[in-house]
Amino acid sequence: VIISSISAPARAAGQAWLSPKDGPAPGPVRLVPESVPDQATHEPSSEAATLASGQLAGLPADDLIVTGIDPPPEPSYVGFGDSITTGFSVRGCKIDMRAKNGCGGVPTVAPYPELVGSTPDISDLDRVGVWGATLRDTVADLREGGRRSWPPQLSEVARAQHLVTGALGINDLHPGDWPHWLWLAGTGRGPDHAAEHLRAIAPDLDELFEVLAEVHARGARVVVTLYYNPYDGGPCLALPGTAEIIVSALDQELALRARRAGLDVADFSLAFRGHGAGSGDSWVFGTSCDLLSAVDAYLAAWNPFTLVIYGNPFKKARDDAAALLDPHPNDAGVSAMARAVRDVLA
Amino acid sequence: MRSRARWAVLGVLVGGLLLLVVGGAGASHARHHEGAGPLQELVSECMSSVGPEGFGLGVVDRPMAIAGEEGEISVPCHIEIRRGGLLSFRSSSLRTRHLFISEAVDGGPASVEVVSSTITGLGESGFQLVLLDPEAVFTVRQSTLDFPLSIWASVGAPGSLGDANGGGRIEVAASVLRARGASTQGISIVAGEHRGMVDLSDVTLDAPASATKLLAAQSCRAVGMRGVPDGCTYSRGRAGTNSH
Repeated sequence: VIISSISAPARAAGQAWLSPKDGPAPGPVRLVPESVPDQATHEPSSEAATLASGQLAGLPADDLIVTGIDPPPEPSYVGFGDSITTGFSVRGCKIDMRAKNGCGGVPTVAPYPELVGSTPDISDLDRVGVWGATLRDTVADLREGGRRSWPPQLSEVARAQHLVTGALGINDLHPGDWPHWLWLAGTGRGPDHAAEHLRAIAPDLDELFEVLAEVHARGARVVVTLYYNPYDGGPCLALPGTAEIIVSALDQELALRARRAGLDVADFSLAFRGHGAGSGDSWVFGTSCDLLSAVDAYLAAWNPFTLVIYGNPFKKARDDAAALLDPHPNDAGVSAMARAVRDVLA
Repeated sequence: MRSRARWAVLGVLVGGLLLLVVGGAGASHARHHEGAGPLQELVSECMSSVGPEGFGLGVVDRPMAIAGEEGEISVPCHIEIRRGGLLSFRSSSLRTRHLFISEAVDGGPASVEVVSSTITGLGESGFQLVLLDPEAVFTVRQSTLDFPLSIWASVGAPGSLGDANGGGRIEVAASVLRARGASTQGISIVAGEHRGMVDLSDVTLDAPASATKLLAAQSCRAVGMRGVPDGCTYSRGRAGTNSH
């Protein structure tokens, strides 16, 4: 789920990571890393960064082949997705695309995959979800071998041995474009517009579910997580209903495809009923569901005025509006998500 | 004949006098354009303060009444209203790049009015006005706001329906709001869904059919509208004709 938009990360030179379909990624430098980069710092090692950028002194990049380093172990559990898998709030995420999950620093709350992965039967977790990730970019990363300093999410999913959880797609529907969505919903055109978005990402959904089905066929358990309405239960005029149009359209598509592929489904939407921002018992960081928060959060997130907004004291007011509307799960939210997944696994 | 000649001389004298008067007024008007008026101050301030983000900053920290002026701001401009000030355009014309009007945080309720005036965006520019105080007011009467990218007006305090939140008042009458550029983001006129008011009468919203035309507040009324068949998009309060 996205509140503030981020630009597509710049492709790191000489990507080292392998796509499960395409074999070794082409490029002047091939690097097989010694281990998965340290998750605590969310940074690749400086050596890896140097190698990946092909900047070893005196060596022509085209000739540089690094050998003798063991491939990373295959993870038992891979949690993929977007910002709701990262544990960060809007205020907590200092966007940093060099960081594994897209935010610098320590997550605001324990991400739900970590809660799921804390059970004794799961030996290790590779949490690969990225703040602001779209399905389209994630699938493109898989095809192109990755555009960040980290492996493509779906190539990591393909390596999972026992369990995969996650979903993608909500950011492809541009839920933060609230003025447009609110207008469409208010004039009865919301469902059609959501369907248009889903048609546009249908080829990407095909690829996502192809990867998930392959992992499932190898014997791993795959749980597709449905999105929740972060404003459900709030006393507001328009936002809860508008968000429901977006979320339910995507959830129906995800559930349908999951069932067709024989995958499990964890319904976060059901789990969060009545616990949206503005409700008495909010399971998201946001506390508000009103129109002004939605419009102001949108205006803060992307438009030609963003630069000036972020360069003056008005920024604080805009940050406040975005935080009021924050759809990311708080402590109670991640617990509910973990519970929903565990219930499916039980 | 003599009488007719006398009238002719008198006519020339009167005509000359009239020319002097008109010419004098014209000269005075021209001088006004050269820098005497508050609009010119604002234009100069914006043009001379362009920061790294490309926007100039014009500060309104006292009631600023712009009347009978014309001006052009050839850079994107942010006008910040401080200490609950008033910004008034009357019988004036402004051409500008992006125009962003906001009030300073904790500055008190600001008021912005555009009356019998035209504000036009140059290139693919947008208009954005955000006033965050529940008592803030934005008024447009007998005027045209024409920005290819967007016309966004958001007035009131965001937050969940408490007494300190919402509010805001937007009144637009006998006016045209136009956002017809190739990449238009449409028109949004929004006040608080708690104690906020949007009142539009005899207004043309001129934007492509597929572009956003969001009109919303606790009390939203839209009468005599053109270009927005749905009227108000959201309203909790009394509905007027062509609103729901």
